[in-house]
Amino acid sequence: MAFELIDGRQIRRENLDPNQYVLSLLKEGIRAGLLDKHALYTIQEKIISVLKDLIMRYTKGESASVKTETAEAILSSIYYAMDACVSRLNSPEEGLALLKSASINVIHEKGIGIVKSYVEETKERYREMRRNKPDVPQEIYNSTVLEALPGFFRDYNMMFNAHDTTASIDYPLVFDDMSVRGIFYIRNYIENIDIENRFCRCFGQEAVIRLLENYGRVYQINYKESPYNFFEVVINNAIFSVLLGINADNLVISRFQYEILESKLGSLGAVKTGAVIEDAVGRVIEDLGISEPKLIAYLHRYKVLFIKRLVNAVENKSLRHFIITEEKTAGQDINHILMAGNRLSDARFRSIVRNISESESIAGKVGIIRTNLHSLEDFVDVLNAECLYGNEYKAVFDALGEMELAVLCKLVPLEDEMEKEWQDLFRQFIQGLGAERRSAIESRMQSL
Amino acid sequence: MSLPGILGSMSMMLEEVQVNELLLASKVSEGHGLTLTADAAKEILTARNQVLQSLGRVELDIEVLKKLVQSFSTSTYIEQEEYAAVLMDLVEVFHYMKNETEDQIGDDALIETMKAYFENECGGAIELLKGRELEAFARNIRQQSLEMGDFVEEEVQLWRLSL
Repeated sequence: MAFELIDGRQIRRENLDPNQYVLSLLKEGIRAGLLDKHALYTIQEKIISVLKDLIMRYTKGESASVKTETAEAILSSIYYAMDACVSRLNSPEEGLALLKSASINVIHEKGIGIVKSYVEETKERYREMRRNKPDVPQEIYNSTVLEALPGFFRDYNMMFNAHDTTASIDYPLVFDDMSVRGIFYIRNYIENIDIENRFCRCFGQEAVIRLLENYGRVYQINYKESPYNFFEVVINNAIFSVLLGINADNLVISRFQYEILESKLGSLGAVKTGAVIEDAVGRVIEDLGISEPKLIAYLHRYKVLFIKRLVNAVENKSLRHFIITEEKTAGQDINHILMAGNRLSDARFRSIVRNISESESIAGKVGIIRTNLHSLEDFVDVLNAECLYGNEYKAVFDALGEMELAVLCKLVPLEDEMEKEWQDLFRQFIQGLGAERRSAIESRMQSL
Repeated sequence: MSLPGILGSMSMMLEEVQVNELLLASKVSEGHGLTLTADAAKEILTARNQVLQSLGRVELDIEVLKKLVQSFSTSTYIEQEEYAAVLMDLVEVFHYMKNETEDQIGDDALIETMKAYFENECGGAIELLKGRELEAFARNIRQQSLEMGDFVEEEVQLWRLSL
């Protein structure tokens, strides 16, 4: 406290570097006139004394000299431990006072104690993270978690190389602050990878792997060997599912749903996109029942990144690389709804009808139908269930392929006094189509 | 407060102290007719600092120099007129060998080896000491270190497999 505001001299917090705290504090102390050259020299002399002791310990008392890079590494390690001690004090002024009054040796030893407790705590976090990691066949992820991180703990030397982070940590995280070093970097890394793991564990293993296979196809890479962050791939599709009006636990997006998204997002503009995604991320958290504050904070942090990327992707017309769609052959796509033998159970059917009724957007309703219905019978039952209204029918018909429309044309009588609303609307829809499309549907009908 | 910065300011402040330390250490050689003047001691320290810098080494005191004085003061080959020059050469050879042996050999053992070669195989010739005897010695040390390295690598592989 003795250093505060004497003749207006004070430490500017913005000049302090958290990753070189002691050095920046000493520099700032000199600038602010709170530390004179004599005091600095004394501190320097004490640091050299610690360095000399450590060099002797490093060489086990066998050598008085070392290579310059070794001495530099040991000195950086000393500063790292001192940073751990001094930066945890209540204020920079307190830190400067400690550096002036206390033995550097004591500060260094206290710092080593703090680093040691962080190592133990981080090891425990690592064990927990490893126990709960998702089983994903991505080599770089697995080698980082199963080999590089234990390798770090095995090789980490808090006495002579505390600042060092040398380990093959190749798996990229969404948020990775490389300016932090040593155990503090590893601690952040493990905390973040654990958060990403927790999110990915909200989804079934098969669903994640299926998505990553599609990711590999879209980017034309081997999804098992390439270095990419799979948390991003998963959360992106979860957000897009919500935008389609589907539950966030769905990771499968069809090409048809992609087109809905493309059209919807293309017309939003940057400002509205922000608001829509803000809302969607909230829905993701709700749908997946996420309540852990750190994970929620991480998702909101990611949201900012996501909005930026989404706006760019829309502008650059590169959404196809952002929304990972399910691979299907052309034939499969056309027959998507018509495939027989996949009728839903009554309970599941009622649940889908309820979801369609409750979905607030047309795109959402269409998305639910497209994703969940796999038989013609179920599709017609949904049309008969009166869970769609007016224009919504048109949107559903619009989403069908020529073959599907051809099948429906065969089913809907030309005139029927007892006809349902959807049948009338379907007839109007067909009559409203262009001559070319109508003719294509007719030729499909002939082949049925 | 980087290493070169600290060493630069320290060497200026410590020059006088180190000259006195060296002069005090050289008292042992006076009985063998070898003395150092303050100017010679200063010259030796300057040369030693240059050697450390050019060979990329750091020594925060002058223990090595003091040990070289102690060990070589009994040499039958060193004359007073060349005493300072020989000490400068010995310091250079010493730190060169520390690098060449990849720090695998301790200070005392290296000085003992240097002294033994200097007195016997080299007949007091520094050039032979550096160019012939110690080069072969360094090669042996490196070879041993390499074999030990293979052993360590095998151990690491076994550790990986046990994961």
